[in-house]
Amino acid sequence: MRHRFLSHSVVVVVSALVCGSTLLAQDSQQTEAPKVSNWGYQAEGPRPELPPLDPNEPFDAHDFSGVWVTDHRGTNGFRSMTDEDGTPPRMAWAQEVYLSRKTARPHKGKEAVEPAFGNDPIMACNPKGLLRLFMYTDPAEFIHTSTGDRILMTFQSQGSTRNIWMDGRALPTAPEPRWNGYSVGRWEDDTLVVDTIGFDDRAWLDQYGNVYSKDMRLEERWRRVGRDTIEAVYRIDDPTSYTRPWVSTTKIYRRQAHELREIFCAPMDELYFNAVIRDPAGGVIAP
Amino acid sequence: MRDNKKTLVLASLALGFALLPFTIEAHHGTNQSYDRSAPVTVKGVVTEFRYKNPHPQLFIDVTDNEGKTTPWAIEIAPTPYTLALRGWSKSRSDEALKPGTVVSITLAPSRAGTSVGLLREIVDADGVQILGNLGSPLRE
Repeated sequence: MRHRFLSHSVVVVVSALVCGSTLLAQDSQQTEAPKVSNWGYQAEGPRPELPPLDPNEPFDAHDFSGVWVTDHRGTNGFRSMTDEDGTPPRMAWAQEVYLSRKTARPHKGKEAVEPAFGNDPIMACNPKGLLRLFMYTDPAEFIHTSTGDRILMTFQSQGSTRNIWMDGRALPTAPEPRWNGYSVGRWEDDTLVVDTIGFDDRAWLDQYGNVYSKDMRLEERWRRVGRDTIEAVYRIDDPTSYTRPWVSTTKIYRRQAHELREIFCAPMDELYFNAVIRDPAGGVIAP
Repeated sequence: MRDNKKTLVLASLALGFALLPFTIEAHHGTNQSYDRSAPVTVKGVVTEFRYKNPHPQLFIDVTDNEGKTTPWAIEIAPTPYTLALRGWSKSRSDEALKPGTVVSITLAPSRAGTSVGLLREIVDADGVQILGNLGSPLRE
């Protein structure tokens, strides 16, 4: 009796072990390696790289998904719609405002100042505004919603976002001022055309203090020309500020393999930097 | 005794930086404040390193031959974003520049004559470059 019980016990234990091993094997086969952060600027592993580019590789021209950064090579740090000579004549009030904006960036018609004596609003963490975000050194990500009703752009700089509404809606007739305006988009063949109005005119158009008014109408034309390249041309129609429309040079955006980094402009960091670096560098010492 | 592995890593990083020059986009033009034509080298001890936006800041104490200590504040033009692209994560940067680290720093001094500068190169006590090859001609 006892022997039979022990035999049965052994069978049960062995069975349990076999079943457990089987389950474990199945689990191992079904378990994939856990996903880890795509580098995400933690730089804890190999920097992600794009796959080698095959010129003949097909791509969806209507899919902008991914992270893209402005290609500033050859610009020597100059970031605006066009070069200085391409700036349209400003209306008198716009010229006055432009000259009143003090920046450390040399530009035609005005002297650069020490940053400590500048009045660029972003130095107190105010929003950059859409155009300045486009032309900045930090990347942005396009995200297509699953419903197709909009394309979201999220900018690494300042953690800013904006919606490009693709559902056929009209622009608002009485837009409230927004730092990034209100945008609607449509496809013209393979070109994403975006119209934006309703800008908050307190933001600078660029780092040189160029002006735009709340009446500005911005047209963007985005075109994916390759697997890893998007081109964009911007047109500003702002007769309140300029004597003629202002069309940008072609801006190039290169696809990146990594995810965006979190970058908010935290006043505690910005103001601390101003106090310990920017101002003393300019000879301004706090009492 | 020198850590050969550490030396190799740092040398590799330095080489990487040499091949990938930083584009200096100093903070809203703080480059305007510095005299890049007359770099100076100071040797001191790290008191604090802030891997923060808008630009990382390094603080060192420099003691002269007479024993007088002057605190220096150094702007590192590459942002944490740019540093991380080159492999300088926060953890790696914090370790390399932790308080007490003896460093030799070449910088562009402030035109105002204050003890503030724009970083060009950091070399550790063993003479190994920690960060360098900073700077490219800015549009004047």
